[in-house]
Amino acid sequence: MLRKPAALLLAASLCFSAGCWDRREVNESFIAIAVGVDSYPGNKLRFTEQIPLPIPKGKGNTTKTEKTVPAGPRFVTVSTVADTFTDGARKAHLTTPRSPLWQHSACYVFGEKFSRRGFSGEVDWLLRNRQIRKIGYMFVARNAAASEVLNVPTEVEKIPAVALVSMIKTQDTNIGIYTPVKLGEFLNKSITAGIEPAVPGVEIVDEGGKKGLKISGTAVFKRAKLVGWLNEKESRGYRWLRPNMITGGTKVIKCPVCGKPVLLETLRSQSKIEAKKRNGEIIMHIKIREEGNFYEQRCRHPLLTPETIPILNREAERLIEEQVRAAVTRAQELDSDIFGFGQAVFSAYPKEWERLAGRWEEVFPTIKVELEVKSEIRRSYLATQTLPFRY
Amino acid sequence: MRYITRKNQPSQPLPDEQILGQKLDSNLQVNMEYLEQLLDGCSDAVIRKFKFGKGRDIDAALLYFDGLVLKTEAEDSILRPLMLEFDLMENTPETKAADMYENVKERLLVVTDLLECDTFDKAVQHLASGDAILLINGYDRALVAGIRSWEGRKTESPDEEVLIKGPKEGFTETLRFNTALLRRRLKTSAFKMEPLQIGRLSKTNVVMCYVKGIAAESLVQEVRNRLQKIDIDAVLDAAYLEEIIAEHHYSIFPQAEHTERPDRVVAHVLEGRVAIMVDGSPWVMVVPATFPQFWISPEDYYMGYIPASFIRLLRQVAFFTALLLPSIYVATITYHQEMIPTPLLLTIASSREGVPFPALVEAIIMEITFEFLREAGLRMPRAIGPAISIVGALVIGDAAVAAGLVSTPMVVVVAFTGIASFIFPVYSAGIAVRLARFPLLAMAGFLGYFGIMIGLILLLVHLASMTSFGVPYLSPLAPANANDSSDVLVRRPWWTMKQRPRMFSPINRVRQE
Amino acid sequence: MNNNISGLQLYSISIFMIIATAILYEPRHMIQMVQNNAWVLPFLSGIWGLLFAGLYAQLIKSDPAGFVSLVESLVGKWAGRVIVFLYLAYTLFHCALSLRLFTDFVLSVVDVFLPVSVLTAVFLGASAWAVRRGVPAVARLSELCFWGNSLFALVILLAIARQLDWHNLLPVLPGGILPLARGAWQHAYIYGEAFWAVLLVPFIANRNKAHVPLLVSVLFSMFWLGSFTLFIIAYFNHWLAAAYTFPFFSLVRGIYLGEFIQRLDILLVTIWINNTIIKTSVLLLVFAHTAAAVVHLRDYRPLVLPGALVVGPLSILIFNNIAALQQFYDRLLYLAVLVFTVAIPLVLFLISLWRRGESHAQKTGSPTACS
Repeated sequence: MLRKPAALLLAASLCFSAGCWDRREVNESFIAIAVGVDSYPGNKLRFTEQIPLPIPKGKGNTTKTEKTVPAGPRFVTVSTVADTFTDGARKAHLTTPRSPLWQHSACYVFGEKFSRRGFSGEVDWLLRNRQIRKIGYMFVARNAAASEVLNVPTEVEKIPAVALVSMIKTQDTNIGIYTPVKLGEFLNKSITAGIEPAVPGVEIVDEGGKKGLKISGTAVFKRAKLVGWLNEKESRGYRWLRPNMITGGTKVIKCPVCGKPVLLETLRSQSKIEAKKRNGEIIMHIKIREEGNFYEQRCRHPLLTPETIPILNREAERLIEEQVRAAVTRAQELDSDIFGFGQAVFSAYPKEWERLAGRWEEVFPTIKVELEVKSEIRRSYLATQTLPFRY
Repeated sequence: MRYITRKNQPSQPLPDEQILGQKLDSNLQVNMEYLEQLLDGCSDAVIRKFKFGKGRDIDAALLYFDGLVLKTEAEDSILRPLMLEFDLMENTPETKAADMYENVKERLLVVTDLLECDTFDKAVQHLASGDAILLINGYDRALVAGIRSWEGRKTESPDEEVLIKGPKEGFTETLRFNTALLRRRLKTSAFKMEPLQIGRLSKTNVVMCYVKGIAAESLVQEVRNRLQKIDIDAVLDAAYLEEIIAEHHYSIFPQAEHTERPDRVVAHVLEGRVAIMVDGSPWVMVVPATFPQFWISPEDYYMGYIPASFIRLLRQVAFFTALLLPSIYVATITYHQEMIPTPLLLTIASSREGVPFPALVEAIIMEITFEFLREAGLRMPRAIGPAISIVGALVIGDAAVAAGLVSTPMVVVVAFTGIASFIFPVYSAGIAVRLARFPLLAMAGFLGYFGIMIGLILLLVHLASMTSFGVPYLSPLAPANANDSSDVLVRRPWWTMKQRPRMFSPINRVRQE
Repeated sequence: MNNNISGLQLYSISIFMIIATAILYEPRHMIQMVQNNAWVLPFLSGIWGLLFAGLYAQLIKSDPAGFVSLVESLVGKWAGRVIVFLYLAYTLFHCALSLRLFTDFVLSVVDVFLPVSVLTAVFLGASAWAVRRGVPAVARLSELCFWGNSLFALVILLAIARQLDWHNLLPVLPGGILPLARGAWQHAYIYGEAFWAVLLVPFIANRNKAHVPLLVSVLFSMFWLGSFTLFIIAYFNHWLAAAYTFPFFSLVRGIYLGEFIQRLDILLVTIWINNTIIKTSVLLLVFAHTAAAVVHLRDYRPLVLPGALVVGPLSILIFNNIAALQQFYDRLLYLAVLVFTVAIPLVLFLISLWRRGESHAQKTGSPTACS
């Protein structure tokens, strides 16, 4: 009956002798929390990764809750130049003692030059790498290189990548200008016919010698190339046309009586893009259903009456329509179908699409857009009137 | 505990075996010689020789072990009638005709439990079990008076299986008390208690309890057979029997349930199981055992089914926590860092800064330390308990972390695991889980989640291939049975439990109409 | 009483045989074939699957002694031997293939530097041990894993549901019904894998009702395969989905429900390890059992280890690289499986019908002959 112990011994020795191939201790690796991609003269690529530094452990009595936050930046940025990205990433090992964990990359930054040159075929790495998750957020460095952006220290949130992700997410629910884009969506749209990606931009602001990051503009891609930027208004228009539901955002309209600004908050909004045929011509029919709350007014007119609310609603609808039209016009100027009109045609008229797909670039700028916006004010927080000043 | 027998050396027979095989002689003198020889060196044996009968002077002897019988009882119900009242009886016309021995037996001795025996073997056995033996010259039989009464522990509430609600009585070391505790709960003649004697030297009384008409005949027969086959010198606890009669000798998992609670035994017996009680141990063994029953506590049935179900689910979570948490932690931080949310990973990374060991070694060190503490806490004298807990708390909780030997998350993980492993209502199942944790930890360290999964599957295959008295060990989970499975993961309400579990194939299935 | 495969166990074994590797590789294959309508394919080919299951139930009913005696009684001893040997060889090959498909997955996404030999050895060792522990152990394991896997799969489906874009499913039928019909036939082989459950005939408890678990398992596999493919298309759209080797894995990596519920890869790895270990165990069991029946061994256990020793090296050497594997998977696998699980059993079934008709005719004829 020596067979069982022998088998166990064999199994154990197999485990021990074989060792641990893919083992990697956390204190022998670092988290590459942001990855930057740039072009470099001579048909080379510059790869950048941002690494948060571990918080040194308090010595002595650990029961005290005080933590001494070390001064200076809490991150380092490593840049390398190489022929391919993986090569670049591996070259980083020559300057950093630990190996990166890309699983936690929260943010991917493409440099503007790289984007303008076009990334078609160059981001294969992003698809194939098993560590990179496609749920990190995408940015385009505006008027800068990704390596520069990732070097700028941020306040409050000490790690720029975390700050960037937090900024793009909170602005979406609070002010609602830019549309956060995840890497997966970006790749998806890049390769899909009839839709092009648009990605929020990030620029470096300089306030009296102190550098900071600011989200600014939406980069419009076409054929995997950056072709132009949407400004704030156009970005808002682009956001209205997002296929999934929008929560949060603001609209500033004019008081119907005096013309002073009135702020409405968007609670939720849903858009639907449909391709329709009018007189044999394909047009886009866009429906937007939006509802929200009355938030702020600067004048003293009683605006929340059954008579005035419809007027405010019309104003809001006009504003949304204006923003959407601006976005569509700009996209048609740039000839990039960032709204997925082509997809709409494909799903409604697959036969037509086969005919149009080849010359969609010529068709897209001429497409007419029909808008049907419905906006509703529901509530107004703690007061239905403004403060009753006596003067 | 068996006699060590070597192949080349035939085992020595026990001394006295020749005498023991003999029958009692009619001559008291002869008997007494033999008995004195047998009881030589037994300082606790009391041999009282006396004479009775006016004018006849019949020789007699009363033997018993001191401490096992009630002395006053021996005096009042045996010696006094014989020595003082024998003559009164002899005078009546009915008694004159009868034999003297019959008279003594039927008319004189004031003892309810009176037997006879005619061999030395039996006589000594009775003596040792606490009966008094009366030998009368001229008769080759001995009267056995059951006046045994030794001081036993009073029934107390069980220490190991603590319940908030439900009966507080627990078994004691005395078999008769224990059977009485059961009988009081099942007042039916269908509740059978079959006596058996196991142990060549200990002659331990073992009782097999089952309900006739519920427990499957084949199961009862199988248990009886296996018990009868046992050849051992002594049985000190039911656990001896478990190891011998269980089917899988290599398993770390308990294959019988041991309990100190009569209510639990009765509940099991009513499901068609067989309980085995051993004299001298408060632990009663119930077979067949199935794995899922180890997360079932009798208390589940004493409270509402919704809270009971919640607690049962909690125990299952605790089961997996105790089994897997350290290995999942090790696998996660050494192989699958992407599973940890980024902020948490940053925290773990900074707390692991400077820790010299790989996570696997760290985990093993901490787990073993914890096992040390637990075992020490269990065995040490009560008075130094606080000292150990202070040392434990300081060593594990603080000093090791402060010295940079282990990381804080690991301490948390080990503490969690430790707490979870205390949740099991059945102690031996808890030990099995504690043991199974280490191979899984090793697998996790070498192959990551993949290793854990392989380890778990091997564990599952092992459990799935086990049977306990023919009942699959994982039933009623696999093979599944709609009626039984509904009272395993959650507690089924009483009013829906119309049938007994089918896994033990009870003869009578109906619990309530 | 407890040593036979119960209905639920037959069902779970059958569903594991069908789904185990299909869920890994099949969505990509189907999407490459019929783009965004791929999710209909599992349902369409499931219709074939239901027919197959009916056929298998008939085969199970027709001979309780097992496949070997059935074949030998139908086509004669020597022809029967040849067929059974073909089956034995193919079972080993299929086992090696299933194992290889899985090891390639593990080595692509979980442990990259792990030598393939170690992985294969650990895996086969576990399977072989399970098989040696007996039929009930394998059956109970599959039953338990079935519950676990269903739970995990449901969690995955629910977690991903919020992130789907149903527009990706449009338009319906861009290329007409014809490619769908062709694809349905080509992918029907997935359901043919339930055939290996038939080879376990002597262990099946309730042979006359075997059609219920088999049909239900086909229905459930249709549901799982269909919904997973649907979700993959709706999540990625078919261009991207077709580019991934393991689209389902990439789908799960995309789960994002707030900061904490976003890393459920482990559920998936769990499901696949369960799937594959049961599939290889059942195939090994079928091999050992059938081979034992051929050489009239009473116990099949001694044949498990030799089987595993063939499967291990075979699964490593069978393909050189992932491209060869994919090519084989896309072009040849369905033919091989269909031949062994549908064509030959169908022929056998027809022969048995014909024989029965003949013997029936003889029986009705015999009284007149006697008189």
